[in-house]
Amino acid sequence: MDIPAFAILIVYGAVLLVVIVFSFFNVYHVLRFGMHTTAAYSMSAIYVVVVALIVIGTWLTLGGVDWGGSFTVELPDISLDFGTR
Amino acid sequence: MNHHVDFPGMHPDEQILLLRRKHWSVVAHKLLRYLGLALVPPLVFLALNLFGVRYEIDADNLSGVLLALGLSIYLLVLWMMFFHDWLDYYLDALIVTTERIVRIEQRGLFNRVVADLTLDRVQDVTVETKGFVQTFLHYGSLHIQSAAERERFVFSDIPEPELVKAEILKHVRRETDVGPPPVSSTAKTTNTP
Repeated sequence: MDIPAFAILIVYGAVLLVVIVFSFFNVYHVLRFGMHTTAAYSMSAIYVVVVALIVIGTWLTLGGVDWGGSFTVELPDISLDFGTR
Repeated sequence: MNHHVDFPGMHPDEQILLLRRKHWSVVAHKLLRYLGLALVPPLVFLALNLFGVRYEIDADNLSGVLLALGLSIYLLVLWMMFFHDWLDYYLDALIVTTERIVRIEQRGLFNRVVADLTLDRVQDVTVETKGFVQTFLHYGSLHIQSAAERERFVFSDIPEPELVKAEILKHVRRETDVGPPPVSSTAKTTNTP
């Protein structure tokens, strides 16, 4: 069975989108209600940087993947013998 | 006075006398938990290596790609959850101003409770320090009773609650100026470990 590589990327992209949306809401709350302190701004910056590092690290790790291709998965051959009696 | 800090809903001529967030240990133990969870994948890899099972993330096969993406999602979700917990800790605050006591409580995203109590309505201030950890690290709960029958203000895990109580009472006396000072009481419950 051939699994298109981009299908896996779409799933990852969907999860990443959810993370980005929640991250936006979190950072929004800090900047709006965080009383304009250095700790609030610093922590928000650190959060965004770490997220970026994780995504960039993933991209570098999988930089050699041909996302236009596909992965072949060999399923075990299971045959059921319903022999007549 | 914290002149460089303001909060939403602050009056123009109001000044912040004291601002307290919860004790750092509240977020520290959550940080340790998330750190522990983040260390699980490398520890699993290390354990597998010790048992002679060697695996490298290979971009050429499906399992390698799934492993890399799965690890990425795992770390992203962990980091996002920690930041959410930190936000929940950081946005909770007890603020004493020249006019009132404000308790800000963030209950998750888009759920925020801001309650205030004018200084002239403060009737009783109680400090509760419970257990070895709170006693050793000097934090506890602050209970502020208002003129209303129902207890309105409870702020838990506040550092140096005795100092906060003293500061509040000082400004309450200044605000009321007449009559007997409000009752202050300290309740300390120590459980022998």
